[in-house]
Amino acid sequence: MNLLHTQSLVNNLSDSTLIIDSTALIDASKSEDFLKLLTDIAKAGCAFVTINAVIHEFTRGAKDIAQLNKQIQVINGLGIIVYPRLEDKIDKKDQVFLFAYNKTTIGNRSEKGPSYIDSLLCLLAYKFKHTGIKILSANHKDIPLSIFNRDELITMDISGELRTEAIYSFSEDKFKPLIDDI
Amino acid sequence: MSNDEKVEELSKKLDTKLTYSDDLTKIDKKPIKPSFDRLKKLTKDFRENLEDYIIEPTTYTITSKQSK
Repeated sequence: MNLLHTQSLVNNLSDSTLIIDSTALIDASKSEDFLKLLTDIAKAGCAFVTINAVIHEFTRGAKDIAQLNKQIQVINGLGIIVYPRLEDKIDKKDQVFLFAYNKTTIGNRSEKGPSYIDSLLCLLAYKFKHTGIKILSANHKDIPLSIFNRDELITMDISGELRTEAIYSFSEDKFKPLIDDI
Repeated sequence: MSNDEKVEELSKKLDTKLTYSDDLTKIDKKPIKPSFDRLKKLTKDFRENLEDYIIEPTTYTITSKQSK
């Protein structure tokens, strides 16, 4: 067994929107089973979105232009849509979210705060919460369970190492006490 | 050839056009048909050269301050 997830995963995500983190793109490049799962999810009518910073994070290790082109072709092949200029669209409500996010996430780390890119992915999930948007990532510490629900776990074997991606969704109920506490 | 001319020449080799959308509420959810075989071939070509990500331990360290 090289990939483990709930049987209803693909159906559960039909007609959803999933924010793709760079960890998912890296795992999909290394695990054909996970890549197949992503193509099945896309075929079921789930839209994939991301931000420019994730594209940068995924492609920054390209050894030559041919590899860079191929990595972009994978992004396009999965139908991933890029939400542009997120940082330019941070309004005051978004700033309150980021304040609460930083406040709750800092406790998960002993030395530093959350990754900037993961903060932006969480913000994107907040910004479009009314659409039921979800996040797919393996950076579990940066997607706090004090704000997000962990809806699904996907475990895969990559060259003998077990990796776990998870699908998260913003929780209004969890967010309430955090903003009450500000 | 100047640096600018060289950069211009290299940029012509890039095939890095992406699809953008400013409004995620208006994304067409029509199922797409990604070619798994094509994606498998593409990823096979570069997976060995791919930069990996680092997962920080998910167990939390209890500091002396917290344990008091």
